[in-house]
Amino acid sequence: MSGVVSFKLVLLGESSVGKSSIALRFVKDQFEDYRESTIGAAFLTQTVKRSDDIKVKLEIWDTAGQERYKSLAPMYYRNAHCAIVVYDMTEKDSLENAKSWIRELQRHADSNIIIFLVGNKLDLADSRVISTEEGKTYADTEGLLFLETSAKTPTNITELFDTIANRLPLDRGMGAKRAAQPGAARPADAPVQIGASAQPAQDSACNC
Amino acid sequence: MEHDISQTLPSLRLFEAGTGPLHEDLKNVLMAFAFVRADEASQREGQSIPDLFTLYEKYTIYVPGTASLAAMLLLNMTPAQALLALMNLISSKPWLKAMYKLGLRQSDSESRSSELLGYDRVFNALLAERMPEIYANLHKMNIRPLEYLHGWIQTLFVPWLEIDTVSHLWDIIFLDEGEATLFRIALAVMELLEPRLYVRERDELLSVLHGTNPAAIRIWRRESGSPDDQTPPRDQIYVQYMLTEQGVFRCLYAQDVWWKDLTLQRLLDRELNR
Repeated sequence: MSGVVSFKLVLLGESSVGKSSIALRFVKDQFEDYRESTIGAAFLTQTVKRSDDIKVKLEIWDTAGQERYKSLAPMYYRNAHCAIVVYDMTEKDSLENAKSWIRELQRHADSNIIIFLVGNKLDLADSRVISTEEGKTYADTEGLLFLETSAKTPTNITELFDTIANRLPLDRGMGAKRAAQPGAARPADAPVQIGASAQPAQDSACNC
Repeated sequence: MEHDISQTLPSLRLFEAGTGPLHEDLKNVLMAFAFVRADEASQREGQSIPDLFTLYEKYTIYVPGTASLAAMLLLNMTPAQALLALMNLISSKPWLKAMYKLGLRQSDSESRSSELLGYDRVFNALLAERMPEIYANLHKMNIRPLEYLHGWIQTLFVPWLEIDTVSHLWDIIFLDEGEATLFRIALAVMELLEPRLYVRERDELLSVLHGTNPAAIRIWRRESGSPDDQTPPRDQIYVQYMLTEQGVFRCLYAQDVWWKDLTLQRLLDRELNR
C-alpha cells in the first residue's frame, strides 16, 4: 500500500444532468457532446494533492440517473464520504429533483457525509432557467457546498474536486492510520461496517 | 464461484472483486450456502467429520446461477437474511428446487434429469400449444429446453432482463404460491422473441437465444450508438431485442385470456408422476 488515504465519492442526480461528464472531465480531462446514458454505475479513481500537500485518492461512483436504478442508490451512497448532487441549470424541474436527492441523503446517508450541490451546464448559461441565487440560497439553508460548473468548457471542475479533497477529514478515509485513536478498533483495511457511523468521539462533539 | 460472481449484474459494479461494496457479502452468502450443501452431502455420505475436498469433488456443491439469486436478494437485505431467503426461495419453488437439488457431479445429468425432464416436457407442451411453429422449429433443430430455458429459470431471469423488469418479475414470483408464474414468464419471453426464432440453422438459433448473435449485436450497436467492440451488458442480455418491462408485462396480462392453472396442474401431474 502506498499509504494514500482514499475516500468514497458518489455522483447523484437525475438522468442527463452531466454526472458522467463531470467525472470524465475530472478523471480523464475529456468531454463528449453526445454521451450514452450510464448503465448501472461506473467506477473511477483519481488521486489529488490537497493544499496541505497530502495526496488523497478519490474513488468516484458515477451512478445511473435513470429511474430504474433509483432504488439501488443507497448501495452506492452508503459509506460515502461525499455526495455530489448534480442538477441541470437549463431544466426547470432539475433543482427540485436534486432537492429530493438531498432529502434522501439527509435521511439515510452517513450523518457526516459532505453534500455538494452542483448546477451543471454553465456553458449553456444563456438558456438557464435556474439562477445562481436559487441554487446558492437552497444550498446555504441546507448547509451544503455549492458550485456551478461546466464539464464542457471546463469550468469549476477542478475547483469542485479540490474543494472536496480539502474538506475531507483525513482520519476518516479508508486506509487512514487510526493508531492514535483508542476508540477506533477497526483495522485500517477491514471492510467498513454498514450503518455504523464510525466515530463516537465525533458524534458527541457535534457542532449543532 | 468467483467466475459466477464476476458475471453477476456487472453493470451495477456492486459485486465486482476489489472495488464492489457488495462483493464480500455475496461471496460470504455463497460460501455459507455451499457449506449448507456440503453438510447435506456429508450426511448422505455418512461422514462424521465432513471431508470437504471429497464432497466438492463428488457433489454439485455450487450450482452456477446461485450468484444471480443471492445478488438480487443482497440488494434488498443483509447477508444473513439473504442466505435464509435464498434457501427458502429455492425450496419453495419446486422447479428451482429440482434445478438446485444436490446431486453427484458424475451422473449429474441422470440424477437431476428425470424431474427436470418432466418440467421440460410440461414447458414444451405449453409451447407447442401456444406457438406450434416455434416449437416445431426448435424440435427440428434439436434444441432442448436445457439449452435455453434452464438458464432463465436457474437465475430467475436476472442476467436476461433489465434490473427493474427482473425486480417486478420477482415480486410476482414471490407472491405466487403455485407454479404458474415461472411457466408464464418463460412463455412470455418466448413470445417476445418469437419473430427471431424462425431461423433454420441450429447454431444461429442458439446464438439468438443466448444473446450472442453477431447480426443482432451489430444492430444493437448501431441503434444504441455503442462502439464496435462493445457487447450488450451481460446482465440484461435480451435488451438488445428491446424486451422491456412494459412488453413483458403486457404479454403476461394478455395470457389471462387463455391461461388455465388447471391445465398446468394436469400437465405437471402427468409429466412428474405426482
